[in-house]
Amino acid sequence: MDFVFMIPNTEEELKTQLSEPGSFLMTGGTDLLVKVRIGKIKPKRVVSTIRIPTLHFLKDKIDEIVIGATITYSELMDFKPLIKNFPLLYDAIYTVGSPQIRNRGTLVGNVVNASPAGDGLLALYLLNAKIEISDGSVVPVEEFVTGPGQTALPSGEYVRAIHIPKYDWSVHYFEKVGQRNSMTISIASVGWLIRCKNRIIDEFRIAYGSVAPTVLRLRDVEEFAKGKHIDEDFTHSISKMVEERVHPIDDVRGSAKYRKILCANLVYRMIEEGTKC
Amino acid sequence: MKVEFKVNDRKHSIEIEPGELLVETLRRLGYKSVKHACDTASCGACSVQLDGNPVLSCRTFTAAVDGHEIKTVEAFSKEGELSAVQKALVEEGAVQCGFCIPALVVTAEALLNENPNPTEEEIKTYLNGNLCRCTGYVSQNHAIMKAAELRRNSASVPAGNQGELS
Ligand SMILES: Cc1cc2nc3c(=O)[nH]c(=O)nc-3n(C[C@H](O)[C@H](O)[C@H](O)COP(=O)(O)OP(=O)(O)OC[C@H]3O[C@@H](n4cnc5c(N)ncnc54)[C@H](O)[C@@H]3O)c2cc1C
Repeated sequence: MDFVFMIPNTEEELKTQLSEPGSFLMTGGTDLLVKVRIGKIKPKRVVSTIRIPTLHFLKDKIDEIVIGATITYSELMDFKPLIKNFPLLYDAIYTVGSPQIRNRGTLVGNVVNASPAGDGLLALYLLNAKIEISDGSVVPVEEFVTGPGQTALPSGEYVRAIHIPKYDWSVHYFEKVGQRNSMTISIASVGWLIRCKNRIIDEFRIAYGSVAPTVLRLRDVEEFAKGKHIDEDFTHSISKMVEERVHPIDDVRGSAKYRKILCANLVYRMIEEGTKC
Repeated sequence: MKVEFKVNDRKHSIEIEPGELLVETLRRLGYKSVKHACDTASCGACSVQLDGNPVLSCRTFTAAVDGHEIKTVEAFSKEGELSAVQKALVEEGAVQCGFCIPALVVTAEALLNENPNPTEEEIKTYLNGNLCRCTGYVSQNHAIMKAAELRRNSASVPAGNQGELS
C-alpha cells in the first residue's frame, strides 16, 4: 500500500498531521482499510488515533456516559454502565462482525462511516446521542450524519467522543435481518425504546437501518404511539405506517419490495414486548 | 521505520514500511501459519492474538503493534505437544484441508481464556469470524466443547491440601 502511516501521540500532533491534504483518519481501520484495499479511496497519508491517551477514556456521569474516540467495541462491552443503562446499544454492537472486528473497530468509526446499515449508529439515533468534535462543538448524531458516508465533520477536525444521555426505558429491542446469521450486513434493521406502564405507552422511539440514505427515526410514528395501548390493533396501525414511511432501494442484499414488507412485519415483535410493561 | 514487538514470547526488532500490514510482516518473519487469504477482513484465516485478543492481521498495521505482544498458533503447542484445543480438533475430525485451522486455534484459545465454560451457542458466536469451507463447523464446535472440559479438569487438579492449612 502506497501511503505514509503516522501515529501521533497527542491531539496537537494529530491536528497538524491531519491538516495535510490527502490525509485520512483511522482508528480500528475495519472500514477504512477495506476501502483502501478495494481501491475506493487512495490516501496519501493515514493518520492513526490509537496512541493518543486523551482519546482513550470512558466516563460514567450522573446523566450521561461519554465514550472516547478510540474505545473499541470490546472495551465498551466490558464497561458495566453500558449494559446497565444502554442494553439496546449493547445488543446492537454485539452483532457487529466478529470478536476480531470488535477488538479493533470503534463506535466512533461506525458513526463517521455513516452507513445506513451501521448497527451502532442505529442505537445512537434512538438514544439521542451527541457527537463531540475537536473544534469544541457537540452535535446530535442525526445532524452529524448528513447522507450515506457523509457527515458534517469540518475538514481538519476529528471526533473526540460520543455522549449518550441516560434515560429509563421499560422496553428495548434491536433486531438485524441479514442474509445469514453471523458477520452480516443488514438487509434491514430495527430498534425501539418504549416507556410504558400497564401496556400504555408513555414514550416511544423507533428507528430503521438500511431502508433509507441514513438511519431513519420515524418521528410521526413515535408521536402517534403516545398514550396508546400495546395490543394487536396498535401493532397493525404502526406496521402500516412503517410500510408507508420506509423508502428502501433494491441492492445485492435484497429488493426494495422485500425490505418494505420486512420492515412492516418486524413491528409485530412488539406484541410480545408489550407484556413486559 | 523501526518497530519492536514480541511474537510467541520472542522479541523482534525490525525495519518495516510504514504501510506494512501485520500479516505481511509475520509471514516475512517466517510465521507462515498466518494465512494471507481474502484480504478483506471477511475470512478470519489471518487471525492472531494481539495482547491476548484475536484480531485480523490483514487489517492491522505492523506500526500499530509496536511494543505489543502477538501470538500465532505456534504459541499454543509446548515442546511439540499439542494444546487441548489442537488435540480435540484432531480427535473430532475437525480438520480437513487445514487452511483455516491455525487461526481457528488462535481464536478458540482466546475464547477459552475469556470463558472457560462456553455453551455451544457461545462458541458459534465467538467463532463467527473464522470461516471454514470444509467441515460445516459441527465437529469444530464439538472439539472446542471437549477442549474446554479438558482444560477445566486439568485446571481443577488440587494443588496440595490447602484446606487443612487454613
Ligand atoms: C468483516 C466486517 C464485518 C463488519 N460487520 C459490521 C456489522 O455487523 N455492523 C456494522 O455496523 N458494521 C460492521 N462492520 C463495519 C465496521 O467494523 C464498523 O463501521 C466500525 O465501527 C468502524 O470503526 P473503526 O474504528 O474500524 O473505523 P475506521 O475504519 O478506522 O474508520 C472509519 C471511518 O471513520 C473515520 N474516523 C475514524 N476515527 C475517527 C475520528 N476519531 N474522528 C473522525 N473520523 C474518524 C475514518 O477516517 C473512516 O472514514 C464490519 C466490518 C468488517 C470488515
